Amino acid sequence: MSVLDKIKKLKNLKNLNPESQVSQLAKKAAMYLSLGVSAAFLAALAYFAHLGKVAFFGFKIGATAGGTAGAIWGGYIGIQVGIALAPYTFGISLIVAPPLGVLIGAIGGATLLGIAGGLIALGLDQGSAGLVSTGVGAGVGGIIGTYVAGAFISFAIGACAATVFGCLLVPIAVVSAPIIIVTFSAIGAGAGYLIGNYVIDPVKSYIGGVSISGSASGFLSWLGGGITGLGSWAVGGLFSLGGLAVDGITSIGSKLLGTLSTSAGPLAGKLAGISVGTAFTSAATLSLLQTGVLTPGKFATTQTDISKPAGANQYVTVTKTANPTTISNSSLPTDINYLVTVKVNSYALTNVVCTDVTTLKKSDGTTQNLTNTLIGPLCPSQLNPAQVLTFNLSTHADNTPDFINSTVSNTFTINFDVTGGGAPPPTGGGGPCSANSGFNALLPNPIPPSVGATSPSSLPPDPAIIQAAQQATLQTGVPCEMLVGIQYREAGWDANSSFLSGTTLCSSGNFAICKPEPNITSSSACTGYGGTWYSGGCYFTSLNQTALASASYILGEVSSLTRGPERPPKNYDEMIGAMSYYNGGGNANCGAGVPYTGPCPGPIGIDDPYAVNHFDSDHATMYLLYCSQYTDASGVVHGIPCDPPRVLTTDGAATAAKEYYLKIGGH
Amino acid sequence: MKLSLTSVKKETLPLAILATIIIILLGFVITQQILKNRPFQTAQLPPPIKLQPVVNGKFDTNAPISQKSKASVELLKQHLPYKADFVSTTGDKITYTLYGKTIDPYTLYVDISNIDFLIPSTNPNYPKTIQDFRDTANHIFEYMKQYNANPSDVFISWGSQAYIQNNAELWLTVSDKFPPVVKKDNQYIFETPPK
Repeated sequence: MSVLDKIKKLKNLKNLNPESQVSQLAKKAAMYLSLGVSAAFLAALAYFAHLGKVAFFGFKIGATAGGTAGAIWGGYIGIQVGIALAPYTFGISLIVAPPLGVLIGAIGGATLLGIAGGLIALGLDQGSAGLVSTGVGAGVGGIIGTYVAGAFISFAIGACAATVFGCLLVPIAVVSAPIIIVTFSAIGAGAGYLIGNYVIDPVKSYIGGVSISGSASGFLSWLGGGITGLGSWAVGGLFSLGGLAVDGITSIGSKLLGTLSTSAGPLAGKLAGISVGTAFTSAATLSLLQTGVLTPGKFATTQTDISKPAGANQYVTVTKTANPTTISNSSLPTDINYLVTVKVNSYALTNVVCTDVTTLKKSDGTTQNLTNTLIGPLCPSQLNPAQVLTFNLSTHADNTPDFINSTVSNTFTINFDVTGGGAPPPTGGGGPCSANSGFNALLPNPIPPSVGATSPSSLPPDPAIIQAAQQATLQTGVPCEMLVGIQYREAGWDANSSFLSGTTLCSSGNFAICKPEPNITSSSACTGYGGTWYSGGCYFTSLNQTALASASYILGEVSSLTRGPERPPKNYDEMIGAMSYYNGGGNANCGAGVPYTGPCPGPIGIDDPYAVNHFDSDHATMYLLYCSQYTDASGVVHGIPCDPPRVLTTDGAATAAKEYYLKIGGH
Repeated sequence: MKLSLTSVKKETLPLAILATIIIILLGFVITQQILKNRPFQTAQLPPPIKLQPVVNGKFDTNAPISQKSKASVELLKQHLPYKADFVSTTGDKITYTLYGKTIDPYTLYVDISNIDFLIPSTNPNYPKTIQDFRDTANHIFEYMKQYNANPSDVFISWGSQAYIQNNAELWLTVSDKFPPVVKKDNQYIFETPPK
């Protein structure tokens, strides 16, 4: 009998006939199941396609895996069902059930794991643990449900071997399978949702999303972000504290130990421009308390006291080490040796006089000077920029009552004149950003020499620029040198011009006669940066305001670049990427039809002359894409391409920052 | 157990319901695709950033429009920064990042790569560039709506340069000056000549 004849015979059977009942039920079950899983699959497909590329991609991956597994499982079940129902369907079930099982299993499995995959992908993309665990829960629940449904079908198949009723149960079990699977899947998804949103996400928020850097400021910001949960406000506040701690170790640390002071002469003004012969005295007094409390078994001088940089100002940096680092009463008599290092910064010093005094403070409170034995001359009368001096000093501690439970202090003082006459620049300005600058972390290692650099001829920058940059660094953590480099790019180190765009500052406060900042287009940003919104434009009256605005811009650009929280750049790629974004990113030379031969493609900014022109041999020649702009009748701003391509002659911001760091910072 | 016979009507009803569901779902998918390519309606455009309210030279944080924008940015805040890559209707690959700034919680900030906002109007890719931007804006608006942030409530900064903000806000509005962009003979052109 052919298959068609068998089907015809089944159709013509009376409805009370067992074969008729089983086959009718099986037929309906197959139809409902096929349409049901198809509808569910289409619904899931439509939903995840609507959610976007990432979710749809996850859906496709899950559906592929689920469809494959479902096809195998469905085929197996189909074979079992086909065998069980064969006596009641004249064997037709052997032909129909297995492929139908493959199809239904594939579509059903694709639906289940497609949903799970889509949720997981969406959760990963959005950083939502709740979504990820919902997806995982749906998948796990569905797999468990598949096992339970399979067990029910197997039971029905077993029953079918015994009675006709058991065979009626088979199609019922098959139709129940998706219901069981969906139920378990929903329970799993619900459990995953609760775990994700009420357990994992809160823990994740507590830990914080700020990455840890090796520096103290990075650690503090991570800690602040996690503990307070005030987000980037807390991070920004702690950055400044962290930055203060790192950069201010010399000043704060030395204040704990002693005092660091510079007294300027009576003449104020810039170093340059004062007539030759006008003299002044700049006394840099560095008082370094080397504390050693000689008590039985205890020496109070800590290693950190000894190893901390002793003090620095814009002219010199003094460091000191001691040997031994621990002394007890039982160690007396002993010699205490001090190694003092003086490093001259960028100014030549004359009439140099150095003194070193070791003082004994006895247990009764009285003091006396101890004799120092100096190995080598203390200081020459003249010191050149970048010159380094070291002195070995030795003092003797006797085994006498004077030294028992006493304090030994060593004070090194250097006095000098700065050549060229005139008053020195204000404290903290005109010289390096900081004696302990971390800017080298933003430079390649080794640092490549610039090629064709133009900024060195303009060094040093105006002290007001350095001061403004330092202030912005304290508040934001963006390296001072980076801001100095940006100011060069924008304004050529003109202290009357904005860090943001080189626009002349409106120092008078009369906005009607000043030009606004062209690139701050909203009053909310203007107000946030400390500017004033007037007649549709943003105005700044001080360099400090624009330095802070520039640093805040950089924080936002790093956030955009790294897809993370607002923070200072941590490495070279982030610095040049942020600089490129700062300028709008429209000058990228790669693929722009200019004869640029540097790296392509690369991290953002590697081909942007705004950031890296002249930085190294790869960036010796870079091009401007647009030489000017115009606004058409409809208000759209268009660029006029440089034709022929125009070489940018001045340094990129990173190049200027590097040159400043190396030449003024003395690195 | 005796199974009852089912009438023709009873048999076909569940099938009809299932078929209807499938048709509705297909219709939903097709409609979504059509809607995505429709020109922007004015109602869903973000407010121009130059219209932010000001009092005594400072941004008016208390104005209703300011509070609305801040509230919408707050809805998105925990999902920022957000970076997405997608292929526009012109086939160009676009990348954008949405992020916030601590100093300005009233504005959503956007950085877009691979769109030349300074493109000359004589460049044959000018209409295509505008379409790429409109697709990007649409993508962003859909993302915002996922988190119940209404694009028409939010101040958006489209880039760090004034020309980007200027051009973006102009290109968003489909009008006689900036008509819809269509594909013809393998080129992207304005549907009607810009006035």
